[in-house]
Amino acid sequence: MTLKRLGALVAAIVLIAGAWVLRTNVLDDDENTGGGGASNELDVLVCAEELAAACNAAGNQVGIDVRIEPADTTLRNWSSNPTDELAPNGWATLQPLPEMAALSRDAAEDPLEIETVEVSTSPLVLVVDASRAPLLVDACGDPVEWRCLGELAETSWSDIDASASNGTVRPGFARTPDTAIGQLGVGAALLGAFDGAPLVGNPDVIVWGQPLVEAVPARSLVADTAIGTIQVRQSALDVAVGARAELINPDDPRFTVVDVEQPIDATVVIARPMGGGVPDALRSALADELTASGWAAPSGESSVPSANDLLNTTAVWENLNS
Amino acid sequence: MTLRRRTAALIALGLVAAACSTATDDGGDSQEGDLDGDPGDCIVVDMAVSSEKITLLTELANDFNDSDDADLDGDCIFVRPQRKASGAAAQLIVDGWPNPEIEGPPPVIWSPAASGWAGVVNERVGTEVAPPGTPFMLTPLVIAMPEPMAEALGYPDEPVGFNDIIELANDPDGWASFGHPEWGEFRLGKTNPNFSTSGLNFTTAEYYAATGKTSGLTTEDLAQPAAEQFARDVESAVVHYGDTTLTFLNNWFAADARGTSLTYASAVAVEEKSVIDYNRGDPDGELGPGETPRPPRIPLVAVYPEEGTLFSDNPFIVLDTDWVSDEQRAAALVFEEYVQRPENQEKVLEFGFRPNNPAVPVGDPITLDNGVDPNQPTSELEIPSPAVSVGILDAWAEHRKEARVLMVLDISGSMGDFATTNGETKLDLAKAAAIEALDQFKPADEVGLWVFSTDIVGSPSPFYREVVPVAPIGDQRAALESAINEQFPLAGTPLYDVTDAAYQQMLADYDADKINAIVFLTDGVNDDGNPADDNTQFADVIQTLQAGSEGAASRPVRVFTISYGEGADEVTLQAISAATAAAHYDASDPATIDRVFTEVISNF
Repeated sequence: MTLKRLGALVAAIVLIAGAWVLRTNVLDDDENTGGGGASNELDVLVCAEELAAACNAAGNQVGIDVRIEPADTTLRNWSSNPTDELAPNGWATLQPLPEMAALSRDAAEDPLEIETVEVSTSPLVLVVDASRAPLLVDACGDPVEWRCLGELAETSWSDIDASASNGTVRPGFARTPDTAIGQLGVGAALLGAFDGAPLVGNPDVIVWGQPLVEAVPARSLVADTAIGTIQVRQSALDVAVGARAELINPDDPRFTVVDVEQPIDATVVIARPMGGGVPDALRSALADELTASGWAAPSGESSVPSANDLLNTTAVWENLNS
Repeated sequence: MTLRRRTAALIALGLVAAACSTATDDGGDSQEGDLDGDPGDCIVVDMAVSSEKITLLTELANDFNDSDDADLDGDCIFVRPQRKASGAAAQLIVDGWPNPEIEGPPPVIWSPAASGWAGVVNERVGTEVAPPGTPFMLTPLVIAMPEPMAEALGYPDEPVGFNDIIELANDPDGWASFGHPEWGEFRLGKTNPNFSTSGLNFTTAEYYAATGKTSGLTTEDLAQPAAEQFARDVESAVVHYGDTTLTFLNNWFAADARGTSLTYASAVAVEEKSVIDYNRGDPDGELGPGETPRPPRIPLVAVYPEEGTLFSDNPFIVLDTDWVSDEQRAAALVFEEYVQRPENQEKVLEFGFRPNNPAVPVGDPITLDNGVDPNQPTSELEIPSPAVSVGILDAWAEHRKEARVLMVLDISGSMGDFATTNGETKLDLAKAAAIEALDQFKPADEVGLWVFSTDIVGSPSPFYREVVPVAPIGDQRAALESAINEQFPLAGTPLYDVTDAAYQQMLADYDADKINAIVFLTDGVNDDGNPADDNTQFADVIQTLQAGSEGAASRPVRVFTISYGEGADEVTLQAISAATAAAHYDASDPATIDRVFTEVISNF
């Protein structure tokens, strides 16, 4: 071996070693491989519309492309698209939508293991027109019972209190199934109102749910969500179901925040096909953005409906709408 | 008459404010805003924008085009808004956007005033060419009333609803029932629902009021005899229609300057934003060069109907049509995200709209001082399904107030000038447009035709000829078409003589149950062979028109004027329209005459 060749070999070894060190110290620091296995680079973060602002800001910070789309569109894609196609994607949404996708694939005998990392959380609440809130609490308790809320939908406020001004009780949910928060709210309502009882084929569900579906038609929602809508167009509805963090100004005198029975949490997660890993920098940037807009760090004890229950309640709601 | 002397005469008559605005500046015209720069090689995103927000969108587009945000994968984006009334754009999309040289380029983004228009388009096309759009900003439909009139109804202490307005509209004693006989009958202003969102929304509210519902309106409801009669009764109180509320607001403002606003209209269905503009002294929300805001003597108050109201949500609809490429679609979404940012939603508020971003709370100028209430409305009427919306438009065509219209057509020698390279004259184009416009009348409308020039023979007057007397068009549509087709160019333009004669004729046969109007098209200046008396003639005509159009007991005959071609005396025609609280239309480009005729006939 000539001296020249030896020099080239040493240089090659140095380059390889340098690359290994770089990967170990830089890239691996940025990845949480979660479920283990080989990691795939995250190219695109697909994000639910209701989380768009935080996703876009986080994506800019860490240099990852962000695609905003309805949560239900992503749910369908992850429930059926080839695994290879999904591999470079991350999915920012609410629990348990990734589990719902996995469950659907299992049922279709095309399984896909999905890992999730919790990012932020906010309790599901009712944001109520301040002048109506005392009437609602008088009628349905505090926390409000879902069964009672559904029974009041489309009845007159003056039926609750003769001195109340005109208008019907209009509880509204975020677009369902388009939004994750809509699916979660509807699921909470149905599960809360019919605790343990079968939902499919239950005539009581139809009688109870129909006014709730019709009280605030989806075309009346000018923002993606009910709480987004009530803040810019208060006359469209008077009870908005959603995450507490959606209320931009918690001290807004126009509204009263009321808790619901059987509290559940809207928990933001980033999901990836198993082995993909979620970069810590991305999770952290998204968490920071969400924290700045009122979301909290996850406690590890989030209360979320099961994937099976939510698939069920969303299907029931779509039937009521059809 | 020189321009200076005529302007002096207009000032004396208090008509300058109205004469300086034309209906086409506000309505269905396809003008672009004051856009900076040139698109170059950028991805061009054309927008069709309803008229009330063209200034705002042009400003946002300019800012965007100049920013680093106007980028799609390294290619620059150039957003180009053009003004297009919501209903007119809806029809153009249904028709596949014909004549882009006249109508402007087909849009990538369509932003009508309200999402309901998308449903109308999709229903008529049969496929979803206008997918759901993202609302950009909000403004509710309100009933604008002069403050003393609203107070006479007890507002704001007593709630006022559509039913109260409608009851008053049908009261033969009018304002006398409220202790104000000097205000005359109740006069309602509403726009043509085929063109204007406030017109569509008010007509929808009519049917809700007729049925006692606030949601769940069905096509069966529309067909109920009681609902049909209710709608006819409401429409009977209408002053006239039109493609834009800005015609009413400009006329109201001009009448206010002369102290007669209370007898022009009692209530007009407009968007909340328009009340703010009016009370700021800028009734059309678009200050022209040299125009300074002047607060009105009598401000307007926005009445939020007790039953609830409908919102204009100004969606950004990225069209799913064959003229929109994937690249343009992606670029459109970049601009859509840009306008939703809080700093841009702050601009929305400055212009008097309610922001759609909850991070930007409602505040000034949406204040009681400006005649609007940030805490209203408290309830809404449900947006009907697309099929019901189409049903409302069809029903309105049957139930609207009938019209009695005299079309007065210039056949002077200059109308024989060539207007196209195909050898068509100005008269050829005008005749074709007039014949086309006849289709917009319903059979019970009464329509007649006069032509005018000097050297008319075989007629009691040497200046005009009654070609077809005013009579129900259902009986004489073919005769009108044939008579229009037979016309050919003659000699001079006796504008003042004919205006006066036509007005006197329509006044003599005035029908209080109809909209009485003249549609006056000319391409020239007064030329009756005697220039010495032009000044006197002009002043006399204007004073006659104005005197007959104002006051509690007036019998208004509206004169809608069209200045046709470059040589038309636009200032005089504007003054004639302003004197009768009507509107002037600009067809200085003869190729636009089809569209202009459509806009003019939208008043009936």
